[in-house]
Amino acid sequence: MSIIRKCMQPLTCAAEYLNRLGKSLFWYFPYEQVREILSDYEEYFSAGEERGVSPEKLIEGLGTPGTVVAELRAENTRTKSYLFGWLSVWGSILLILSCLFLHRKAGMPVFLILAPVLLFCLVHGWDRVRLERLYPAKVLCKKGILAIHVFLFLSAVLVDLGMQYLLRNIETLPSFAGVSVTGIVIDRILILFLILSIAVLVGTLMRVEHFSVVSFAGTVHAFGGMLFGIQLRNCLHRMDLTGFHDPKREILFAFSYYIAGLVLTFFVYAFLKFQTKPSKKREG
Amino acid sequence: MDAQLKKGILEMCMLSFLEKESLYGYDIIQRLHVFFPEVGESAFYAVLRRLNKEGLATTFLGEVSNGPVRKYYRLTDAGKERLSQMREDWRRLEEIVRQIG
Repeated sequence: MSIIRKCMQPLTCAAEYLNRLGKSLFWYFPYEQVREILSDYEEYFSAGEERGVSPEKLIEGLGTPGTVVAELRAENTRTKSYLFGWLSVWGSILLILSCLFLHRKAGMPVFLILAPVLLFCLVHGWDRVRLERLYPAKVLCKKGILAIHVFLFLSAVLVDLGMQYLLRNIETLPSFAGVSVTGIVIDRILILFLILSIAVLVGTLMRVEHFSVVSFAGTVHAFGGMLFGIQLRNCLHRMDLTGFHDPKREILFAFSYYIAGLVLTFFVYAFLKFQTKPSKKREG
Repeated sequence: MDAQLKKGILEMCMLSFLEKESLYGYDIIQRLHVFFPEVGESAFYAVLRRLNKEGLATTFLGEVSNGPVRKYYRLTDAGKERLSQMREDWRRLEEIVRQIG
């Protein structure tokens, strides 16, 4: 919870502001322009501080990073935004790889760790890394990214191990009044998984205004995980596991849920963006 | 103030400030803020950036008296032309509004 609390703190530090502004700008402007804008804002902060204006006061005047981006985009109609495209690709591939990994374990962990990093760097990540180096995050995000991925990985492993255990031992395990103990345990695990997914979802949505990689990916994962968990639980209740015997079908299942998660996330973001638009109307 | 109306006026005021002297970002924004307190400072910056992109203002690095190096904005010829055009338009509009209203 401390991570979420940190994220919710109002921005008071110039370095943190620049970092978040960089992340927000990154969605809409190419690297060179982002760097230019950030250096202008950096100068703005230093000039303000020189005259004895506190960073809090300066930030208050500038508004949230979201406002800054909206203003810039309203003025700069020529720059096309390249929204979300690469990130959804990255997310989907990460997902497929993790599904593959769970079924063919040899050699996959290394690939699993490397592939997203490579892909991320290939598509757009290197600029992002450069930006992060120039204007590093002061408060959060490293922990946030780590927490989300550790959580996802652990929950996926837990669910999968549980499923495998259940399938292997379904006949030999004891049962109470016709209900298998393993079934109950797995049911609890799934509920936990759902609760945690919702927690991640709420946590990420609370700080959605700067459209960071963490919150977007987190939202997709949380939505996808939730849907997947619900479906899995339904199947368990019906004792109909046909969809989960076959790895290929399972991958397909997970994939379709994450696609649904992605779509849901797009809707949520579109909705939030619609709400945070500046009052300024754009010329037609 | 109406957004469309404001946009042009901000631009004109900014160009007028720059016509008199070269200024750096913080200075321009603070000066405009005195006159338009309800406009967010990032809106000024966005306009300033557009002027630069459109070639109406150009930047150079200058030093404040024994201070750090700052990015100064200076009006270009195109900017001067635009400013006189805008002033012309403004006078015409003023005239029209006065005649009607």
